[in-house]
Amino acid sequence: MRGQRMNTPVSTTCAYCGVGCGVTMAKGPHGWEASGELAHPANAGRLCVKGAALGETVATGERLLKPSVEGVDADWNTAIEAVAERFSRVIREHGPNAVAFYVSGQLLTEDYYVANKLMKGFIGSANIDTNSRLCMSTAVAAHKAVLGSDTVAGTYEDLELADLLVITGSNMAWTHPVVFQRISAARQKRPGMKVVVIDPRRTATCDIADLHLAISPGMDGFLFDGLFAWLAENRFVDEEYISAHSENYPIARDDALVRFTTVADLANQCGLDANSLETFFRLFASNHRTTTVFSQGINQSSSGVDKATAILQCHLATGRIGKPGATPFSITGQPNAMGGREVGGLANQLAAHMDIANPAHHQLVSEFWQTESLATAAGLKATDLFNAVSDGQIKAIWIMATNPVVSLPDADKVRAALKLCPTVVVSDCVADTDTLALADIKLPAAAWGEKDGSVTNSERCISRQRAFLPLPGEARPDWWIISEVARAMGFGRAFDYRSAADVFREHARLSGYCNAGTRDFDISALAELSDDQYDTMVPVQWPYSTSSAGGTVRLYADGHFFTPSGKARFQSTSPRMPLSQASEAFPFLMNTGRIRDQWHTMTRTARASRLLTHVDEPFVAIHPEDLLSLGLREGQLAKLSNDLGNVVMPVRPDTGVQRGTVFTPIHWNDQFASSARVGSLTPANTDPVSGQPEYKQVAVAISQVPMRWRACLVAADKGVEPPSSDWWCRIPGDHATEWRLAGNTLVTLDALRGHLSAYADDWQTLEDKNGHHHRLVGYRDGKVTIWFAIAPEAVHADATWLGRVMAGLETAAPIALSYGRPLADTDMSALVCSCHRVRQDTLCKAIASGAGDVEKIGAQTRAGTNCGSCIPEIRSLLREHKDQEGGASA
Amino acid sequence: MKPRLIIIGNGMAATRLLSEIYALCDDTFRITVIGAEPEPGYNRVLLSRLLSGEIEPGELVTHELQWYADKGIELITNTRVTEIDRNHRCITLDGSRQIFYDQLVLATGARPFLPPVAGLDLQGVMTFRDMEDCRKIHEKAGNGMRVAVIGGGLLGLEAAHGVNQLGAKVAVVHNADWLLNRQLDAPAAALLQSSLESRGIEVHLGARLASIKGDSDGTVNGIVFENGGSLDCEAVVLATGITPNKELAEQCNLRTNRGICVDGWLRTDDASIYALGECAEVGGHCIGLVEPAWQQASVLAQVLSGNLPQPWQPQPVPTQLKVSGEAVFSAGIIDDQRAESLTLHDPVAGHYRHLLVRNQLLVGTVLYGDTDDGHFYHDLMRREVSIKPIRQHLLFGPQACGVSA
Repeated sequence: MRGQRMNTPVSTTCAYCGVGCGVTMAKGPHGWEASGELAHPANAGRLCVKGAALGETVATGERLLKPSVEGVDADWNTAIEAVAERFSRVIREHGPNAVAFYVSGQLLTEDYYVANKLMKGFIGSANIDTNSRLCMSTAVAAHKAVLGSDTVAGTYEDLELADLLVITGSNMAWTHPVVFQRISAARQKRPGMKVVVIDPRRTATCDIADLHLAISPGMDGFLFDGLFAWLAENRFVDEEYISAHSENYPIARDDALVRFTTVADLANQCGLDANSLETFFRLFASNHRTTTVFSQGINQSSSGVDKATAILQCHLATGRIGKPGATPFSITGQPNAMGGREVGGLANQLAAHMDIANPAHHQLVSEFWQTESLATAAGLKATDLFNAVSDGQIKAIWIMATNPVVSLPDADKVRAALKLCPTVVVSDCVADTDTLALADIKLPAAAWGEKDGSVTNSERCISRQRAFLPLPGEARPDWWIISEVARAMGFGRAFDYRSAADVFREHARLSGYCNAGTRDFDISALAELSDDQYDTMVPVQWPYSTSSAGGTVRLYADGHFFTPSGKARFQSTSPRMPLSQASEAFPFLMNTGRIRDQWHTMTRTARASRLLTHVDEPFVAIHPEDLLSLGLREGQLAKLSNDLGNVVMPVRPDTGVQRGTVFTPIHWNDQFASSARVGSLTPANTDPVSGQPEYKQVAVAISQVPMRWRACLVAADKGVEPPSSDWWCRIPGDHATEWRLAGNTLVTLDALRGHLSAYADDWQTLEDKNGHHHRLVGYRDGKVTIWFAIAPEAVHADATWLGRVMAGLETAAPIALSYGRPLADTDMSALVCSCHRVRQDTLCKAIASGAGDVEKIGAQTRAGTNCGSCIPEIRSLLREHKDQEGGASA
Repeated sequence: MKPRLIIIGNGMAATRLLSEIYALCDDTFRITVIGAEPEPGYNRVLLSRLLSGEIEPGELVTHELQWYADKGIELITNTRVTEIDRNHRCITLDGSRQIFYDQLVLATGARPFLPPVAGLDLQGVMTFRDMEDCRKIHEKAGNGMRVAVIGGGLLGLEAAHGVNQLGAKVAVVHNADWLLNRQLDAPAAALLQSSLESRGIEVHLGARLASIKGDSDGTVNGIVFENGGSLDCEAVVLATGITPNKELAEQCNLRTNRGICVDGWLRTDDASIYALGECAEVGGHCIGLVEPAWQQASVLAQVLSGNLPQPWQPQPVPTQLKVSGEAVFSAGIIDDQRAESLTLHDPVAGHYRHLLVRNQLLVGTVLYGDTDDGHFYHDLMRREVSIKPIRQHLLFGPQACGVSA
């Protein structure tokens, strides 16, 4: 609460992706404002649009502010007792494996540490898993298999120093914008740098690609296995390094060579052009400084561990691990997935990068925690864990800071399981999530901005998150809540923490306990921090032991690995197709991912209205020719279905997706749309080693959903009850909430007016009976309170502007009011720059008038001059313009 | 000697015709113009503004005496033509002087229609047509005086506004169910009515005038309605429509109907006689507005100079109420039961739009409140543009339809 106390800016770390940018929060005239922290090694002052909007998400509206038990508000004592009593009873009656925690990469390291300690150390079960299972467990497994430890060897700088940067399974322009900006800047300075993007989709990331390999969905494993074989066959490997620092190479090589025939065959198999693939292979062979970044496109796969392993092995075989510009680099999705891995938050980990199956580790942790109950076997991984909830083996579950009803595969089954589970405890900071709706006990957790602790980003950099806001209502930090429950369960001695700093020191001590260089994760240099030192701790990359003063930028450059032999271990892999394949019944493969301005299940990003301007409704991107053959037009509703479930979303033509494939964002859920939880379609096809589900390839059928009407409702009253419909999507805004609706049941204007009369007394009415187009603008006490339009096709209003009109911040002529947008603003094209609200047509006009590059466009329109997240989109407009010019002159 | 062209009438159609003739640099004729009013050419449209005091009489004049002199036009004012002798191609002025013509144009205009009721001859019963009427109303309708305006059409409302501005207490008496019933539909008229009422103008709808009452010295003191009701007033302004001045044509046996029958080239059934403006009737249409009269003048000027232009055809002519602060726009057919209606009605903001569509074409437009887009709609009607692709945005005007305003 420094900011409150001293009214000075507070340095903290961004709440979103795995880049882990330093953010300075300062109180400005319009509330809290975020700016990039110049001194932070990850971002050096940069921020993306989500980070820049952090200040807009800290309002305490729609927050969970009171504990409740069975729907009744309770004080903390009662709630803590209830959780402890129910968990203890289940453990007494059914044993420790009948309870589970499902936690999150959104938790701070300290929270994570306490949760893991309680479950594994004192309850005595390893049934704690985390949503990192859904994003990073594959990388963890591959790292451990090949390198012996879950270590990201490189650092962000390697992405800038590389002569060849390979980006695979990542649309980092949107998912990790600040790292992407760093790469763009580096590439501009060093035009010789080559970037290869491997992705079935043409994404914004391809903007900086010299070569885009539009691989068939899920074939990356074949590609990197083939690359490994080709490198070996053509003697591009570093034999000396291999023999000095690795084991098992000949077997792995021979395995791969058996599978490999020719580059042309491989290209054919991967749906690629042989020349392009050969170009990539030759680039890889000839550039020692090659860095390969991989993320969810690799990890979220039923054969993800083999894919990641193949990538690691291409680097291992060429001796390119942990060297400047030469390293594999797993980039994480969440702000603290790495911190969670460090404390051992996954069901198959123990603590501090120690293994649950390793008796020495077990002994050591038991001693350190002074417990005799330490779990001896791995617990259930996320999907298995919810299966166990489903079949009644698990009778009490505590979910912290995550929304599995949306994010897990086969999400409808998860929902059904939680409905049946006798005790569901949910800790969250927001009041409404699809998961909270199923909670028996709700615990209000502190949110970003209110809690103190640490996070670790993708390059092993530990940064502090610092509170600058008071705790609202009854909200408490997660570590406190867990410790209180532990105390109530009788484990008080081991959970006697007074502060996050207490927890952190213990975590740091454990990392160094009997370590002496035998384990990668060692931050023992931080074990004796005073509270003040913890307060002012600067970002540092681990390992940070007394022998590695100042932290460690890169690991493994010396060729020593954390295996018993000290050598890395080549693995035999078996590249496999995605389990879900297109069939006659389900002819399309659905790919899923993030969009630029949203985060996870939108519980926070949807609070910043500007983040909903880039993309404001769920969508399914389909190739225009497939759209044509499906008889669909842009904006119409399509149903995506398979045996597990279905979703209904508007369609968007996108030439960037391959024919026969579609793309949908992962974010929307029942809070924001009637039918957009893509998780309900995803089968629980998991990797046999990591347990990570295959989110990227899901076979679906697509059909048109004819609707007699589409409607749009904008209301100043955020709790407005929209007229009943067959489909809806809700878009919260600063001054008004927008609902988009569709339906088949005919409604009359009078009925609508009647329904909406709770919000208005006088009406402006637009009627076009024959056009089936009607609009109502409602007034109460002379103020506009509600706006409604219904027509056969989707009606779009500028809800931001209408909200401002409703709030009295804008005046509107009656015509513009009915129109739902300022008439002067004729640019209704897609919003490109969320920061400065610049739309596509404005940009095209600027380009047509001679603004020939991003800088000139920025100078003229301001687009792309703040966070820069939209620069790839601006570039593609520039390219399109150039192509048209070319076409015109030819 | 150049042939002589005589124009009977010196109103807006006649003066426009003169301008058009000179615009064509046509020097074919010796021209004589005979006007019944004492003034040279003036803009009758602005009379309501004159009445309300917004402009001075001088600002109405469009053609000064000097203009006629400069063009060598003989202008005879304050003079009536009493007879046309088609056989001798000769007209008689005020029963005495005779002038021969080679070509004759009848631009005799129209006069106020007088309802067949008792009391028209009482002191204080006035019409609203020319400068003289204006002067009379100015004299009679003083401060606080009660004035009944009979007729809630464009002219009646303009008169009512003018009289209201003079400080009189005005009651508009209208026989239809809503004001401007030829131009507006009921919702638009209701908005207009409440706006007029807020200015202090009383409105009586569905009220048919039965008689005008006077006191013993022959001065108006009230009106009586057909339903027996009555209204006290000290002056009456009659604005119940116009009657084309076709008597001269009838007297010389030209074909007439409501007006003087002419074809699209404004030719009567006598090859050397033409008619235009409010006195003329083309294909069953009589006009009462200045814009079509000016279109006719343009056609006729060409016909007279020996050309055969596109014949004049009645077109949807937009009308606007010339009352400051009231934005009313009407064009085309506004009561077509078979048309599809698009309406936008905002009683709170005092705004209304009604667009009538048939076969994907805009055929009628009624605007109240914000009439800036009137030209856009009129243009769509005139050019017969299919509204199919812009239907959803049509009510929001040109910008929303992707047309720069």
